[in-house]
Amino acid sequence: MSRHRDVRKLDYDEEYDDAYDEEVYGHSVDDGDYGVSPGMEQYLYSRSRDNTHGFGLYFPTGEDIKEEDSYDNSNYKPESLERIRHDSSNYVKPSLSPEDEVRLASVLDELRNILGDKYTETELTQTVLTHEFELDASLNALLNKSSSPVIAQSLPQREKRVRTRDKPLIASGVKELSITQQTNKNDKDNLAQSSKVPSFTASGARSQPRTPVVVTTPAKNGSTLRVVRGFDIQEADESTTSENNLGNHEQDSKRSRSSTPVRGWKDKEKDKDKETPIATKTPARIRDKAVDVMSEYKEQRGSGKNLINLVVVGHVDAGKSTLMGHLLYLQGNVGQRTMHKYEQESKKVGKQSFMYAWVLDDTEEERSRGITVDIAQRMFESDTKIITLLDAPGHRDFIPNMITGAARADVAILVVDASTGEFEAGFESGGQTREHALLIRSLGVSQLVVSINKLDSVEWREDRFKEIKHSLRQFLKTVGFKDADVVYIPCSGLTGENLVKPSTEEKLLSWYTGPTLLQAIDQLKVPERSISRPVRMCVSDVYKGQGSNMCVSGRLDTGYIQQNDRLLLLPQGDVLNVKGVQADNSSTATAFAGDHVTLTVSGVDPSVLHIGDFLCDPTHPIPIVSRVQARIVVFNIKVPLIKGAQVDFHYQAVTEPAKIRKLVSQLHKTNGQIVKNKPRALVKNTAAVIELAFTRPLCLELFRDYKELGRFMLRTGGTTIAAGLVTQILE
Amino acid sequence: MVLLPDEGEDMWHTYNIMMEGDCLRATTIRKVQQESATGSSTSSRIRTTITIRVEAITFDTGACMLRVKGRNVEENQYIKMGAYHTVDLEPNRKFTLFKEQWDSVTIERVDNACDPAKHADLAAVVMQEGLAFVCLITSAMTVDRAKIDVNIPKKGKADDTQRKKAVAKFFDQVMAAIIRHLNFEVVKAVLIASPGFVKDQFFEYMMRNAVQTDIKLLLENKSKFVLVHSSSGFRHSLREVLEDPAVTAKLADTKAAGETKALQQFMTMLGTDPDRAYYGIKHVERANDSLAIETLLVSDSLFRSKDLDERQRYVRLVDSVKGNGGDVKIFSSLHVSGEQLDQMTGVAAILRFPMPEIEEEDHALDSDEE
Repeated sequence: MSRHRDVRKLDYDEEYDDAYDEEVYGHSVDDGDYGVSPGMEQYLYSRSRDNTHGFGLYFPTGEDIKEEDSYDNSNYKPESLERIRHDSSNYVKPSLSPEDEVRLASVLDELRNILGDKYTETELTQTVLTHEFELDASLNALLNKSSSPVIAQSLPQREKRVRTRDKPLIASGVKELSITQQTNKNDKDNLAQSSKVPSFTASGARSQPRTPVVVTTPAKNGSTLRVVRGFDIQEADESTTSENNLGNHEQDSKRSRSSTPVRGWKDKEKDKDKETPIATKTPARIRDKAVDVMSEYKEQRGSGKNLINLVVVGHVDAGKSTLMGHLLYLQGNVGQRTMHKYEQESKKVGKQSFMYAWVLDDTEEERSRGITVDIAQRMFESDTKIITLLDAPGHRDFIPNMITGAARADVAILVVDASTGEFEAGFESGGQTREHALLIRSLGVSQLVVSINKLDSVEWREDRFKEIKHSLRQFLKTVGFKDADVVYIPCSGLTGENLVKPSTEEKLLSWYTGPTLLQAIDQLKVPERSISRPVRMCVSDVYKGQGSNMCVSGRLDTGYIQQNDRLLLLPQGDVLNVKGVQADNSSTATAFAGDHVTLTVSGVDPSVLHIGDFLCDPTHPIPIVSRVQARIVVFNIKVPLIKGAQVDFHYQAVTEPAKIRKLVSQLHKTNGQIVKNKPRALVKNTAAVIELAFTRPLCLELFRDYKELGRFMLRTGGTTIAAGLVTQILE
Repeated sequence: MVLLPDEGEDMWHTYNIMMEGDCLRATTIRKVQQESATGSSTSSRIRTTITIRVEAITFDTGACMLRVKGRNVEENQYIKMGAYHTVDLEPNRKFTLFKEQWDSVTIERVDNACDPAKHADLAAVVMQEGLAFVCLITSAMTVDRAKIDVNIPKKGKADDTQRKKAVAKFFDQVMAAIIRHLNFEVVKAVLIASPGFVKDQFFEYMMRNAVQTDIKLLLENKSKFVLVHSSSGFRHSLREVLEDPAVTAKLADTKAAGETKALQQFMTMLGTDPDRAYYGIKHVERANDSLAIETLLVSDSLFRSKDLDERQRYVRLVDSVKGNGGDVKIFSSLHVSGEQLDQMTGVAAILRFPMPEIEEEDHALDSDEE
């Protein structure tokens, strides 16, 4: 090296400066005795340290999540039935009356929300008891007790915190302090330092599911460095109230926000602001600025057309793809030239009748076999609506795909083949007409357009139409569709009769005066969207986008997403950034509940993204469960369901093997009363409460919390055996 | 009894035969420290024969190895009395097993294991788009050899090259797993099962690739591949595959197929005539008391119970059913069907005649408790 150095002309000052910088730099990382390597003593787990180390702490779905949910409506109500389950604590509580017990528990939970895991349960309990369940009093007591060592930033105190579950966080927290100390010395270094910190945290964040993003900003005056972890607190708090629209729970929700743990930095904040601990504990907010979502929604969507998700189902070869392909063509969503190309190509392989289906069936496999395999998704507009069309496969082998599609839909079109013998084939027990109708109803679709297709093949005979309508109506009633919510439309997908424009076919006109298919779609009611709720989005597709970023797409079930939001990916527990929001191949600023969106995301390894994962609000994570209790309705099955049966569990885009762990009780089909406890087997057409166990943790929501997300289907051996609602999360 | 395991499956049988408290004599390698006169110590590995009293047995499904831990009961020059030793039982090495009491179930098990006619190895690939299991099915075991899980983008993008690439990658991995894990000299047939066309696509892809890259192994064994339908790519759909009549014909009388069939029978019975199908030891025993059992299904995991009384209870049950002319099927808990049976308490019975009173009795008990 020295050979290349012009020693004589060396600017010694600068050279020393550099050296000095380096030294300081080095210090900042491993100054003092803070351990850097994971083998250091303070990182090692010791059973004896305290009893807050429940096993559950190591699962990303800490109890906090659930408590948080229940907080919104049960805070400060000692008598309310909160689900209080503490992480394994072997501390024996003093004997209390049941009422006091509940009060204690609720105060304890609250304290833990505010303080994190820093105090042991014993400490907390004692403090609460001495202050007679007064939250504020005990909080002050605890804070006063601990504030002096915190201010002194004594080493032992630090080490203690390192042992809690936020290990990586605290490690970086230590560094923040060194930054602060250092600022006086060397302002110049601030930038380098602060950029260093986030990267360090990012590496630590892998093991910590709810790790917030760290932002360190060098302050202007240089003497005090403002370290903001998560996002700006005041702003966030405002946004909490304005956007969350939780009505009378506002006050509670403010508090409950805190329950996502960001514990590492808390004592530091506390020094500055001992009076208002609530304000200090805002974790990773989804975004920095408050958004008045309702007004935004009205502005963007209020005047325009309503969005509706429509799934097309029916027996294989009923003509679903052709019908929809033709509709898209007539609506001008498919170019003349493309259509011509399809026509030529399909002619070449001798399948001209499939030309419209090719609009939706675009893979080689599907075209060569003439069968839809997976959901195709298109958008088109009618007079009053923007419609997201989901074309489902009809073949029984692809029902799992159909379920993922139907789970994303609000309304449905049931296509039946009217030609002689075909309707019967699809409608009898082996056909999919029944199963599909049952499935969509169980998945929450209540409005249905029945398209009686291929009527041209029976010369538009009215009696055929009536015959089919009659048998369908009876069946649909038993499935649970109301007569008023079902419309029957005669049409032909191939000739395009009665799709968009009223028919010109005289044979049809002679007896039919009702709406066309498009008009019928137009008349469907748009369901209520839960825009103001926390974000939930099930990933239904993952692929590489342009550039290095990954794209995930799916239906935004609740909430809204904007560009630059930070979302939590579960069950992996990574935080990712939304780089762009796309709907129907064009970017938009905001996506609302009910939209089908494609998000360009960054900040996450491509390999951790899977179909079936959930994206959610970091402050309101979705529960991760491995055992649930559910209420199911058993369909027409040959082999009864017994304990231990292995089933395929279909939930949103997820298909997972599951086991029936217990048959809890059999219910009366209509009034829901328990008929029998612990039944030996569940025969066909019964209702029951069962317990399901999964092989790996899944993200699930309770039906009563999220109507959109609580439904699932059970299948085995290629048949759908039951539909159900998640009623309770057990693990 | 002197036994000579000659393949991995025999290890599984051994695992089921051996109990805690039995004595095992086998050759093993032990590290022995010797101190010379000058005080320097040398350690050497010595092959020796040892007899231990069994205290713990573990079975490694992946490697088909059996590890037996116990205390020495027969002192020799290297090993003191009471010293702990863990014996790895290997194929093709004799060992001797001493039991205080050989019950009928174990004896039958040994007979079964010694019967070479019942052996038929079968491989199965259960797959769906993005997920595949490569399993090996022997008469007593189903062993997962590989699980392949690949993320495949859905259709509907402007260019589907990404999707094609992902599918090709997925197929490549499955193919590699087949080549690596299956021994075509032993395997009599390879079942490829999937919903839809994945199996056809895969088979086509594999053969095309085999021709292109000249993989003789696959080309020569092309006739061994059988394409079967299954409803999903999960492991438990293997049961469904084994129920397939086309497969059953091929498997003829292997244990796996027999088990699957019996279980299926039980399930149908439960559906059509629930008073003739019972599961759970209490119910089954009650049925046995009235000599009602036609077929008894028991999982072998029950006979591995550490509790001697409990084990005896099951052995008695089996003996008594046999004595009454009933058929007893002992399921291997390593098979998919056995797993399923294990889930439903491990014991089930199909009865000769309906016995509704069992359930009623139970009901009465229930209401008493309430």
